[in-house]
Amino acid sequence: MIDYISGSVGRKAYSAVNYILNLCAFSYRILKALFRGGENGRAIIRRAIIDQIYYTAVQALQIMIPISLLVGSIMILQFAKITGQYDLGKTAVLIIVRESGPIITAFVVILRSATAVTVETSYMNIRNEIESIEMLGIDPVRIICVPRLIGITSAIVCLFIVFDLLSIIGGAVIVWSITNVPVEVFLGQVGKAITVIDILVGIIKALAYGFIITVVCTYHGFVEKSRITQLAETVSRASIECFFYCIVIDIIVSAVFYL
Amino acid sequence: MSDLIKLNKYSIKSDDNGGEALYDVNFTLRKGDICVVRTDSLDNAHFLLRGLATLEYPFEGSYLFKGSKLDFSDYRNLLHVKSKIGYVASDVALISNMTVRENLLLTKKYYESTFTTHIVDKAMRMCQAFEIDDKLDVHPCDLNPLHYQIASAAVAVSTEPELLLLERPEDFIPHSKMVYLNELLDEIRDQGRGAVILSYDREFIRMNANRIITIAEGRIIEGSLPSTRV
Repeated sequence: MIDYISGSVGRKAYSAVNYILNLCAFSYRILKALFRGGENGRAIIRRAIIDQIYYTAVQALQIMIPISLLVGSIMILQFAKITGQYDLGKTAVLIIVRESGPIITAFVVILRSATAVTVETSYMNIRNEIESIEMLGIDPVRIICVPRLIGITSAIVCLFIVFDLLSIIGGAVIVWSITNVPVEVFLGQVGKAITVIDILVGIIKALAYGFIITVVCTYHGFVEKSRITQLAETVSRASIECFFYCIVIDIIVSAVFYL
Repeated sequence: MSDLIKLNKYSIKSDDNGGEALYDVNFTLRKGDICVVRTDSLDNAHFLLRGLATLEYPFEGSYLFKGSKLDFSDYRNLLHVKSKIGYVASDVALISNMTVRENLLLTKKYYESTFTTHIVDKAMRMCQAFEIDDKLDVHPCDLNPLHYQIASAAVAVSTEPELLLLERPEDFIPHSKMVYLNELLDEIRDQGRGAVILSYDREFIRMNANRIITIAEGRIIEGSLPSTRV
């Protein structure tokens, strides 16, 4: 019994480490295709980046704007009760700019774009389209993964900025409607509380999320499959993994800069 | 004539449970050869074509393309060879989120960074001959299976490959249009390129092949030449 349990734990641990190493190797391959891919294919990659930014950022605005207004409002509403309306601006920066802004942006992108990228690349793999790209002498990692990496990462950074601005506006509306704190005082508190480190941390998190989402989703797409019925399982697994890794990155980056 | 491809004790095996395998294949294709494959196992013949297209990696032996030994350690080492091979088979796919025209122009767009809409003459003639020239701006999912196969073949032909791998052209090319394929193979022969074709059409074999090989029990046996060739 003990042997079985220890063997099972060992095999799972080995499998997990092997998987992480595969992801690291795939990341290296994407970065190599990005920085040392040469001149070929730049027109296609540029077009694909613009398309990806449109799908991930522009089309997400109609959901991101109400979410950010509501999240900002809810946060300030709750903390106004707890803190007694003292230093709400600093609270807004602490909660929204440092933590919830990047992670909620990542979650919205995972729900919308990560699933779509996983489906698209998995479908291309199952239908042998990736092989067909190879038979034209074109590196599929270069024309599939590189534009998605740049597009999704750029989109998350932009969406994170939009989220933070609109959350603060949402928070300002609540401050104006239910507290005695003048809005200009609240915004002044926000302005004083926000530091370069806060903005830098937000951008680092957004870049890291974009990178990990692209790597995980395209990796799952490229891994060998044979049946269309595996698609649903693959998308589900990729989404859950993206969630998990984004939370881990969030904790690590926050710990590095704020502890 | 120099060799276009040379396989030495080349052995490949399928990763899935399909059971396809080829062992100790010694095969040489010279420039200008039009080689037809005969087999009682369609799987093995298809597998040979995939092996020649470097889509299957060997566990033993070597593959020389125009005298250079291929390095199978990384797929990127094979891309420059794959660009010189035209692979037309049942498992070839067009890129589904691009139109047929965009598929035909993909190579040009990639290597020349141009967004021209001018298709290579040879591919355009093929599209016109097989009456898909009015379907160039539709997506592959909107094509019927025959037109899909023809479009895939046009994409392969548009790259002007040095080695053409063709699987059962009689399945998607009408008999009345076979003359176009015969002309294409004549051009390949005259230009010192090569082709390996899986076909059961005796007339087609008689007209085009200058070599026949037979696959039996996973091994290649050189066959006899067709008795007459036009």
